[in-house]
Amino acid sequence: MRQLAGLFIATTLLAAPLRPAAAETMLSLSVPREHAYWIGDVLTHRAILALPEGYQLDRSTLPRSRSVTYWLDLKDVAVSPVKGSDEQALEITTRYQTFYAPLEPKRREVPAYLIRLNGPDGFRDLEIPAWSFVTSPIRPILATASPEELRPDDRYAPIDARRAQIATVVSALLGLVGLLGLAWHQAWPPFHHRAARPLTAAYRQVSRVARSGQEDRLRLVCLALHRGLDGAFKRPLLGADLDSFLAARSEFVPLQAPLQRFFAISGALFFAAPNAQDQAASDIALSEAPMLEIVDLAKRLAAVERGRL
Amino acid sequence: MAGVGLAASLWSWLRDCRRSLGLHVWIGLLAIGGIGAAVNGTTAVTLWLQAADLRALAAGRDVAVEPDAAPPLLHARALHLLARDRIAEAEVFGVQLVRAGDPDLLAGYRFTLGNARLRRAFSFIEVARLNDAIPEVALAKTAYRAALAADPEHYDAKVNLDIAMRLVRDLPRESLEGVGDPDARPKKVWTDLPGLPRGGP
Repeated sequence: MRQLAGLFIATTLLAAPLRPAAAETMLSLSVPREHAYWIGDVLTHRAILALPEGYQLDRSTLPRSRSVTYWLDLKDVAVSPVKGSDEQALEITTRYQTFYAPLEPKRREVPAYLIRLNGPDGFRDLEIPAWSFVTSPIRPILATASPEELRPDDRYAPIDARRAQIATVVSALLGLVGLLGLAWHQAWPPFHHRAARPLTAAYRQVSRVARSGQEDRLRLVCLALHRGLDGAFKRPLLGADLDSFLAARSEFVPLQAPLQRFFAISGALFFAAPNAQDQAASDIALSEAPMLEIVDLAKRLAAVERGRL
Repeated sequence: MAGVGLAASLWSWLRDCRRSLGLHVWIGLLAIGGIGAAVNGTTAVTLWLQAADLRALAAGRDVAVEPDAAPPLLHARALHLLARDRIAEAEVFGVQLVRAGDPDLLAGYRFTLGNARLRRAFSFIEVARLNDAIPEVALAKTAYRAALAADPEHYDAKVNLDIAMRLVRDLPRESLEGVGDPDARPKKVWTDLPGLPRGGP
């Protein structure tokens, strides 16, 4: 957008022989590009001012934002210190807006302005020089001015409610999740009838133990399934109580045969005579068949308990 | 060491409130969700009502708009009035838009105001009332310049300002230009109005 014009003006402000180097003000200008401007374009002009020791810019002498001429507005003026320079340097940024409507490309000149520097021995005036640019027409020179040529009115600016709608839905879902969680946590309806699932828990433990390579995993599997059945019966379930259990929980009737088989295996494992127990235990432990049977039974019991079978 | 003590106390506190943690989490979630839904729902309903008003204005039905309404609604009502050559009524909303401070909407309003002025000027030119047309063109140019000041990239405003400039060209005021800095020009003490004061003996 802009190019550094490389225009260095060393203005000798002070002819004091004792301080020749410090007496100069270095002014470097950054002028906006020269061509291709249309009506309404903004041009940014920068003047970088390296002040001599002890001198200060009198800010009241800066140009005010105003209409400079009938075709040129000065939009704003900003003064900022230049970073990274040893000396005391200021950057004066002026933004102009041209409203010249040329019939052909035409050079226009932006006028110079004066600023004042206050120093230890009085003030000095410094001129920021004039500069120029070429502005171009945007319509053909023979184009007529008629109502049909006018660009149409501004469009209606839409009001976008989508963000608020999405935020509402998300918040409502969040609140619903909170409400459901609270109801579940406090056992409010509809969660007040939720019963324990002892057989499901037992099946999970059975399958976990069966997969593990423990030495006495058959005993652990049996114990887990017993605890599950105890939970389902609401009191310890022994082999003799199986009929009353099935009478109370008729959904388990289809599994009567495997249940009886399970109690037989369990009885042989836990309650056989001491010498026979070793025999039975080694027989059963050596074969994988009872283990698979028990896992399958536990799976089917859990499925029945959750109403899947 | 203080950090270790703090961590230990935090851990014991966490262990203490683990029992009631679920309760607090769920209640917090419920509260956040409920408040969020209420606030956002109010906003959504307000915006939905405003959007309905805006659609009505865009469709050509006139809807009353309060002066403290949302900027897009002020803009829409001003556009609606300007398209119907009701410039004086629309300018009320222009003042409100300046106060709202949305540069895009303000530029759009100024541009449309310029269009309305220029259309009025063209209608005067058609019936050869040039003395009435010239001030309308000048007002249109002012409006377009204000639009460009708010949004220098507004190309429609550039084109229409160029059209207005071709109708009545800006010319330097001979008596004033050339003196130099406008700040340094002598103030005009006497008006240019012709004639003598009435009254007196």
